[in-house]
Amino acid sequence: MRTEKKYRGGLGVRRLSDLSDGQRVQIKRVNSKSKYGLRLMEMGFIPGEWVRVRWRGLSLGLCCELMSYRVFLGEEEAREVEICF
Amino acid sequence: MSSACVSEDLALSTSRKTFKWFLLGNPNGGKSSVFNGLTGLNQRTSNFAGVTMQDHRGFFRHGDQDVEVVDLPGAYSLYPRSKDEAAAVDFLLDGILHKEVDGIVVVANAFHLQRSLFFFTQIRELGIPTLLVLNMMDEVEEAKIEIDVAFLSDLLKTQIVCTQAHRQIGLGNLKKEMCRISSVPEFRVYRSLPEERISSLRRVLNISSSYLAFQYLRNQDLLKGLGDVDSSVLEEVLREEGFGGGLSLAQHQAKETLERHRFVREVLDSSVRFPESPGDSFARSDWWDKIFAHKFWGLLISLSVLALSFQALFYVAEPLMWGIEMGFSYLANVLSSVDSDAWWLRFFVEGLIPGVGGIVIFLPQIVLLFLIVGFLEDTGYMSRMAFLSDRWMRRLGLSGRSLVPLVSGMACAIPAVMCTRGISNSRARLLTTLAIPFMSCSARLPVYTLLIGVVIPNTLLWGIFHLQGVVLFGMYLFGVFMAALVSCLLHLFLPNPEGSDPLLLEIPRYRLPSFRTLFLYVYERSYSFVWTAGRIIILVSIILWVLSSVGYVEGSWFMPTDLSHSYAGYLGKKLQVLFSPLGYDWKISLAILSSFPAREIFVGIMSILYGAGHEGLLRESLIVSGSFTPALSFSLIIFYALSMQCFSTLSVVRAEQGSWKWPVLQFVGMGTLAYLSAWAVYSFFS
Repeated sequence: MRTEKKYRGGLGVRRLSDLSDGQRVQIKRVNSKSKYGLRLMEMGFIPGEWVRVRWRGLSLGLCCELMSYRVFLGEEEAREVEICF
Repeated sequence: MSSACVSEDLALSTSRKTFKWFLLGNPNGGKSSVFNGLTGLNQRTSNFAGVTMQDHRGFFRHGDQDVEVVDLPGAYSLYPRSKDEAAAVDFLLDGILHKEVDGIVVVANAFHLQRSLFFFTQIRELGIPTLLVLNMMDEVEEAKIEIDVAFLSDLLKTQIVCTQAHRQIGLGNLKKEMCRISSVPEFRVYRSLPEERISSLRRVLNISSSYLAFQYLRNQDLLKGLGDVDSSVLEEVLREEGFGGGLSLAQHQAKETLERHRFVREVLDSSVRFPESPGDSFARSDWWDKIFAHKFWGLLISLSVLALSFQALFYVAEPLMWGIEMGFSYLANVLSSVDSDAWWLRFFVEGLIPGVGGIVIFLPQIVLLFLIVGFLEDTGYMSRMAFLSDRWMRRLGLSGRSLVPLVSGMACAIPAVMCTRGISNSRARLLTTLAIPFMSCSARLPVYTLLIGVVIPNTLLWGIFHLQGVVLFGMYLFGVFMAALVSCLLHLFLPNPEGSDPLLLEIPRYRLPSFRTLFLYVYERSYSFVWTAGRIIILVSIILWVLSSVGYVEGSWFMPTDLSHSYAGYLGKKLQVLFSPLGYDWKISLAILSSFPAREIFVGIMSILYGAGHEGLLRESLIVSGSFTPALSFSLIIFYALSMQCFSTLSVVRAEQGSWKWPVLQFVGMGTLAYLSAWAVYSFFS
């Protein structure tokens, strides 16, 4: 249950950091109060936007595709993005 | 109407008003290519976000109008997250405040319009004449995306120019529009501004844009010392706390971000048509990433790429170095054969040729080194390396973004230290700055090559690897290890109130580097290396030649036949007291002192002191002299690997950190570490 420890919003909340390669999801909410939340939103991580995980790094980050561009995201930053399938 | 690039002097000498335009946009959007195309200059471009780290200026003349173009670092928003973004935003807002900006060109990557237009709408709302450049239109056409430029222009109330800056297409139109445009209609996207709070500020500052006033409200430091504004009235306006509407700045920002993205989405829905079956423009990059960004193979490939690169430094550069060596030998022989006692002839043969030759001979290796670093950046591979290394970097208190400055530090520490501005966490930035000088830069290469050549036999290891190349690679790994060790130690002791540095890195597609871009990068860096080192070596050569040609004993001047009786010998022997625990004689001590401004001139100085015309002869002289034992050579290598002998780097560190505290600590700390380590190595091998 290693990943459950990382959850801040309870067990029912799914986050971008939980996804594996190739999964495509819609963004539900971004924690704008976090240190990176506003920057994530400025870069296009906004509610309603679709995002796909292209590949993951050394278990501490992932490469996402959104708005036709790619961005590397650290695990910590990816946890700020809540998603829905 | 003809367009011509003019030099800075010419532009400034004219009495006509010179219009000033700022160039802004997201990182890696082709801003520097547009700047180069407009001004004819050769500002560095790359396939990596955040290459422009400071403002660059250039000029062009269109018809009878002179235009100054200021290229600012890339930014994603007017709310900066890193030092380079903050520099761009402050520079822009300050320029507008002091009425120094006639217009703004926002360069947008047409392929990533949604993200680019977000920043554009912020700029456009400032109320300054703004042009939108849709760059990289060739990629849009290739992907069969149709942009209704005229309609988009109507929706954004902005003149749009389409360009392919790397092919110089569309830049003539851009120049024409820059000279034509003088005002723009009002444009508002964010409508939740606290009007009652900013209306008085607008009046005091005499500006029409509410959004601009809001930016000054959140950035009040810029308002200090405004000559033409009554400070008591301004203080009265700013006394009220908060940002109005019962919202904090972060809440305003979040609301604004959502409103802007919504607006941009609506605009794009009605002006851009995507193909029914869109091709995956990243397909080829994804295929490469399966290998290069693989969890295991990616790291292995990174290490192999670096190892092979250093082998290439020896294999490929050797014949070229031999050619240069022969050229300098020939020159020295020709001048030596002249039957004359002229002092200048002696200066050329004994001072200038060995000194300059000692530097120039390493040019092939330096060129190759810059070529490798430039290639890695331009292909887009460097971004992947940053991502792969982020996990390890964070453990050292650094960030994935530290990798590029650190790898660039293998070429030259000066641009590498400036490159740290992209790191948003101030402690990670400081640690990276302090770690960079441990990376083996190109200036250390001549010293390593010389000393490795003296103690390591020129043979092959397992019949494949050049043994000297393997040892050289070992020295680069040693630099990496020391950089990591120092970061790790400082990470333990320095507080980090900001927390870890976020990794949010835009990933470019793999691209074949443009020959022109790569050529310019290598040419400019190599030229800078030769010019910087060359000026110092000529100056030091003159001083050293005079000191080694003259002696003074019992009230009379004389020209010593033995160098040790000259002034240089006298000075060297005094210095030897300091360096004798490390086993260094007076010549080495003098060469170390002389090379404190720039470590690469060590070889040139040694060539003068040993009377060797070029590096090959010097190496032979050192071997024949027998004084360069393995203990002494290794000790000297370690000393040069760890000491901070580059005044230019110290100046840049001072500029980046804003005080002399860190450069002084860096100089003293690295010097002490170098001395003690060199002493330990000498004692161990002796």
